[in-house]
Amino acid sequence: MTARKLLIADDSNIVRSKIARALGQHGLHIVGLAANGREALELFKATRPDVLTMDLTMPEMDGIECIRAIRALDAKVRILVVSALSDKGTAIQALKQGAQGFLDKPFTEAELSDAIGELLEETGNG
Amino acid sequence: MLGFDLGKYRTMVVSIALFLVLDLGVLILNFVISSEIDKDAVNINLAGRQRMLSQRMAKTALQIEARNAQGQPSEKEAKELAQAHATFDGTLNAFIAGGNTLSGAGKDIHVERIDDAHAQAILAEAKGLWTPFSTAVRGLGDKGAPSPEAAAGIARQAEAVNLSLLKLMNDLTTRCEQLSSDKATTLRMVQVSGITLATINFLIILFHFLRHLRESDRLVEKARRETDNILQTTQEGLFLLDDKFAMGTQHSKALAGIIGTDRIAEQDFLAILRPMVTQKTLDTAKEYIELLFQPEIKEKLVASLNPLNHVEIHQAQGAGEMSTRYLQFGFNRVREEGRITHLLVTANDITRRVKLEQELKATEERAKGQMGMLVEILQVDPSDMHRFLRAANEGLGHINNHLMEQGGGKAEQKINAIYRITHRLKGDAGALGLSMLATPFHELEEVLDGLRGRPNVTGEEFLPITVHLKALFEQLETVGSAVTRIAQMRGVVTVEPPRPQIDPAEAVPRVVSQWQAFTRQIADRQQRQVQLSYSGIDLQKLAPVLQESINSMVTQFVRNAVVHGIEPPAERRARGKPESGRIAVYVSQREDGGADLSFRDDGKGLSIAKLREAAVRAGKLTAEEAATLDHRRIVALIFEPGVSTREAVDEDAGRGAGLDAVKDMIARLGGTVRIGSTPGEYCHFRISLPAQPEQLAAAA
Amino acid sequence: MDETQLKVFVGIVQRYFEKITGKAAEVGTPFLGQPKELPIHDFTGVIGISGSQRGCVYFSAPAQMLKELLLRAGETDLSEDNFADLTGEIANTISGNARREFGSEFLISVPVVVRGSGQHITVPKDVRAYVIPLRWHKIAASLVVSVAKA
Repeated sequence: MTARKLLIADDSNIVRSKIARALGQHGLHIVGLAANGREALELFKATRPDVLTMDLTMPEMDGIECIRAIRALDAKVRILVVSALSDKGTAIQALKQGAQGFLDKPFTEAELSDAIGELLEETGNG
Repeated sequence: MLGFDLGKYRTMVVSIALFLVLDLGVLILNFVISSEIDKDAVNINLAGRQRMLSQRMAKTALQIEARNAQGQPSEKEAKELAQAHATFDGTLNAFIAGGNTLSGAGKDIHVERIDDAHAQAILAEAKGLWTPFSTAVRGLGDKGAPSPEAAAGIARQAEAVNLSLLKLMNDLTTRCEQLSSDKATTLRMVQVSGITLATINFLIILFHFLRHLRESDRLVEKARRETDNILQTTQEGLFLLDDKFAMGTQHSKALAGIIGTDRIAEQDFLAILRPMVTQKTLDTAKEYIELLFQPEIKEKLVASLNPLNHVEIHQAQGAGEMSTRYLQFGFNRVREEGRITHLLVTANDITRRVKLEQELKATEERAKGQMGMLVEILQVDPSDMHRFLRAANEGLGHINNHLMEQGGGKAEQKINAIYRITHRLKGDAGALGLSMLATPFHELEEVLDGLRGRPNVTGEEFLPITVHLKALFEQLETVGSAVTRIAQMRGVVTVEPPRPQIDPAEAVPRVVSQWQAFTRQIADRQQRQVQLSYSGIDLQKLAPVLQESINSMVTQFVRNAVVHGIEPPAERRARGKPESGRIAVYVSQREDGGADLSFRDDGKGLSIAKLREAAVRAGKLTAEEAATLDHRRIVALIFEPGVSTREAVDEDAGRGAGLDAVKDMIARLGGTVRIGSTPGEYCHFRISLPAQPEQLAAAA
Repeated sequence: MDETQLKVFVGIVQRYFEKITGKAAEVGTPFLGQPKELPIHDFTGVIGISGSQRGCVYFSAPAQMLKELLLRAGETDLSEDNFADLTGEIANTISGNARREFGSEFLISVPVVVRGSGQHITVPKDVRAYVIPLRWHKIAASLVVSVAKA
């Protein structure tokens, strides 16, 4: 099985490297790091990742808009929203736009790892 | 898939199939036997015809003979004989070996061999009789009218076989009828047994399935009871929610109490939520529930977004009070064949937990804020601290008293009085380095400054003063409790005795050294070790009458403490106290020029039991009264003349005089006294004396 | 409860008196009262406060004041029930206006009227309450605000 491709979108350098470190060990192949929604969209088009971690509040293009655009391009990509839970409503909008899961910031590497594991599990088997 | 599905119904399918097979079997047999019976009916007809034919042939033969004798033509009869002969012969042969013959209607029909030994025996006999006759008839041939000899021969032969043949054919008919009747009986038997079997099968099906139905009903009932029991007893609110937000028909009993309504079954969950939450929460909850019905969303990864994880609701309750409760709703997907059909909702009242968390948080926050405060407090001498706190509390009390006094025209005076107190306390707090108190006092001072010198200040404009005052009271309480805790910690940590409370550089006031000498003197006599320490103002600042009174009271209290309070050194050691007892005296000046005296010893405290005994001994109370009087009244007894807990009288105590004198003195001065005591630990007198008329007179 | 919030309560009562009688109630100097020492007159209208702050606000007046108020309003029925109704109405006005003023800050209950000066009104323990003395035609009444942070 080829390693799944991961794209990380977060405007914080620290968060990006934290995710990269945790998920690199998880066996994911990191294909891109984006600092805003626009970059994320461009990198997405170029690399076609299988998994995406997405911050919601980012400059240029926010996470919700970015998720909507990506979902229009690809119905299969798994998207995990990784964001600080200031407003549950916003996070729910992100899920309505096509993300499948949410992880609250700050998170531990174990929590992130579990969340990605859950995200990659096939749906529909009860 | 099908095989799997059949499982439960296999028996039923087999039973029904058997039923059909039985029916079909009966039907086929019925059909077969009926067709046999049809054939038998033909045979019976044919056999009957044979009988008739045998007679006709005999008759024709005789007619031919007679016509021949009379010379009449007999062609017609000869032809009839030939025809009867052919029919009889064909039918007989068909009965014996199977073959064609003519039906009654003159059609050529096939007749099967009669498959019956008895019939065949009859037929064989008939054949034996028939063959010679037949040969003779055939011998007549087609040569037209037979000769009279031939006709007579046939007639004789016909006569000879006629009766026998008739009988045989009769027998055959009877036999055929017999056979047919047998078959009809068989048919009935087949039908009866078929119906019987079908009935049995039906009964089996019926009983089997009734049993199964009853069994499954019982299981369903059992499951229902178990579900009911769970729903009745669980403390959680449980119900199912569908994707139209409708609540299920069943729910746990606890749910009604938790969400505060009995109307639950098939209600709209959002409508129930609406009065409890804000519109925004309601909208978010709706979207969240919708998300949970979307299979691609990961249930576990959205749990943290549940907007109903912590719902605060308010309910009016009785006399204008409102109660606040916290509810938690949890959602879990219910899947059937992989499809999300419902959400299992668990509702809990988490008020207790939330309250505990809030308390914990508040405690933590206080602790954080207190760190800075503790640092400041630790830098202040404890006795200075106590003094300040007391003065500040009194000061704030005075401010409140000024505010409480209503009546017009005095606003300016009020403000000035409050200002003075505030200013002084601010200075004191600043001097001690207590910025957490100096700052709020300063703020109050600024408010007052803004009001000073203004005419016609309204009551409403005093409001900020009152608000500041409240905050200051609270801040003082906070500092006070911190000081107490520090004192406790010092008590635990420090082994060495506390620092002397009076600066050694300062000379001990004369009156204090007198008290100390007096203490030593009595202590020596009573074999005690006692040290007296003093803190507070220079007594000489007080009005002479107060100085004297306080001196006299302290003397009485010292006597009382050393004799009744402080334990012998050995006993103190045993109790884990320092061998040397301590007496602490503190005097402060009141705002109004009066004085407060605090006298505390760390002896054994007041013994309620001993006081009761002493009161009875002194005849103040009957034993009964003593037993029923409450503690406060018992404690007050120490001020009663003649009541002493000491059994023996000596020069120091025992006559019960002393404290009653103190009480008189306090009463005369218009003061109050409060006693605090913990058995085995301490006894504390607090006396408050107002300014005395002679002072006021002097001041005027 | 800060000064602005207290002023809202005081203002509501003043306006009420002004509207009904043309003369606003005079406000005395507010002071602090311990829970057991709070003034209670013949009729007391209590509203509960909940939310970020808990406790109650009450308006308490002697029968005489209520009687005068009724008379000025042209009312002839001077029964105790009518006094209680009036007290309830004043408390209602406080509750309604406060609800409008504070909106989401805290929740305010429907008022309850307590008769008799010997009655006990449940106020938060260990909290000094604000006592705002009111005077109207030389008759004293009180507005008491006793709330603590939740």
